[in-house]
Amino acid sequence: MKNLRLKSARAAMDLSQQELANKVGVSRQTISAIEKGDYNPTINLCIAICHTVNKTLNDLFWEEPIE
Amino acid sequence: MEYNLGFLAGGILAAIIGVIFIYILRKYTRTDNATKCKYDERQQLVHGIGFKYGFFTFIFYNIAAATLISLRKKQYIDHAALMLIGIFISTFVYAAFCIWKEGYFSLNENPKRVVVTFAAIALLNFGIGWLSYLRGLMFENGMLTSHCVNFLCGILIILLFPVMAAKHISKQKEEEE
Repeated sequence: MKNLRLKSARAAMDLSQQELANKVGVSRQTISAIEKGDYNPTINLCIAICHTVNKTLNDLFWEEPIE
Repeated sequence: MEYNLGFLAGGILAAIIGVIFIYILRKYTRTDNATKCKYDERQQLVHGIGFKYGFFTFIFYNIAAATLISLRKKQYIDHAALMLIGIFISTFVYAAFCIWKEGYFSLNENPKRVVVTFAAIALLNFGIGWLSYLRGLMFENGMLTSHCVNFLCGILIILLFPVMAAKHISKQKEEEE
């Protein structure tokens, strides 16, 4: 599932994928894979991303269970 | 005694040249002065999966090679060369998978410079392989010998270029979308 919330939070901070990747210490392709839903990041990377874009884990990564 | 000393001196000299060569290569390909390649967590995961595919390729190759050896009376490849071919095929599977999944180039490497270095290493290996061929070491009694190692290394690197090119094109298409 695509992570559009991360994409919009990044855009709101006016950060490119490469800039966000540099700030959290990963490759641009990893950020791209997270946004496309191709890769589930570890909790450490989730926290680093949240700190960078000033969001909480709930804001970016929590998904309500589908009933 | 003199032969042993000469052999030892040659070995030490080769090791020193090797260390200098690796140092220069690292300086050339890295974007920082770090001695180690830095990979992020997704890239490390890709390496693990790639290694698994490479490992199983090697297992299946060995089973196939052993079966063929037992079935054929005349052998065209000696055992060392047969083993080397298996190592190169499985290394290719590992490297190609990592390149395709964008886990091959580390965070502190300049991919263009790595490709240039690869091309230089491939040429060097083809050169040494050609010398082995001219000296008649590559084939003995109609059998491919372990002296084909340089030639195989050159082929392995050359085969990685189309994978890199295909990945580059698919990435560009993806960015355009």
